[in-house]
Amino acid sequence: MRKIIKASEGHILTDGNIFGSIIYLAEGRSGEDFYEITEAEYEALQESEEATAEDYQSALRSLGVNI
Amino acid sequence: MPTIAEKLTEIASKTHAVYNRGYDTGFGFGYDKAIYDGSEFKSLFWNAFQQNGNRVNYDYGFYGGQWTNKIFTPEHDMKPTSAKQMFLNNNFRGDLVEALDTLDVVLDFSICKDVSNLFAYAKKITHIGTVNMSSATSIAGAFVSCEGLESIDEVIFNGNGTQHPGTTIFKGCAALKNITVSGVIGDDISFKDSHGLTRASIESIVDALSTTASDKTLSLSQNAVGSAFDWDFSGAWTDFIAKRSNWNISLFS
Repeated sequence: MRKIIKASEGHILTDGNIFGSIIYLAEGRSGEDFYEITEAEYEALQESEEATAEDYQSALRSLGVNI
Repeated sequence: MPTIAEKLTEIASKTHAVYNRGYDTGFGFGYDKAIYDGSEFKSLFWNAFQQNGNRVNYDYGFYGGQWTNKIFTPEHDMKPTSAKQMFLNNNFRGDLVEALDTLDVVLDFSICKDVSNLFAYAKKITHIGTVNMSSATSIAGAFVSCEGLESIDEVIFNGNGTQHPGTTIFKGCAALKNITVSGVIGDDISFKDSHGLTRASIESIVDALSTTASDKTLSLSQNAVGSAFDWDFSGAWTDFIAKRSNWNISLFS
């Protein structure tokens, strides 16, 4: 039987790798290592990891592609 | 001495300049002129750009905003062995399947090793056909920020679940409703931004999840799941995902 864990309003649950508002855990997985972060903190994490179109353009210029 | 392939690659990388030059400059690939007077230079351009149909490396092939519907008119079938960022930031608007059908051009990814960021930031494409990524070792970001994408006929993963889609592969696909998935998904994958994903699409995705993967996560939009399963999160939905109890299923509000 799966455990289901839910974040409070305006928060996201995470264990550092998995994120979600509601998480249906794989069988055998406990939710003890999950904690809440705010949605703003989650968005900030996403932005810091996302390559932007500008990143790609910069990479292409470094390859000598004239854009 | 540069090879022909290297010269063509250089030409191709500067197509935003090439297509604005008329044939009277002697350049020979005055495409912009050609599309107005229908001259044979259009075919000359595409023969060069696509190496008479023999081109297989399409990395950055149609990268960038200069590739509009008017300009994107390939004349040869494409079966790339590498298609990294092939349509990155492409400005094509609308149904790519219909466009390629009209052009009588086949776009086949079945032998492609790299489809990373294949359609990344191609924000105006609404319909993509079959993307057979079963041969690819790099697939991350293939559809990232395809904001206008509503349907993908089929995405084919390999049959052994060894690929790594990452959480970016469908990141930002806010308009995505219809997708058929085949092959095996063996690692974390996210459709959390696709709030209109149909039930058939969700079922297709879940059915493709590896039955042997351990502690991997499928992320979905809570709204998509709710709409698809009549907001019966504790009944129909839970019963449905029981078939993949080895997966964490994460919903985002």
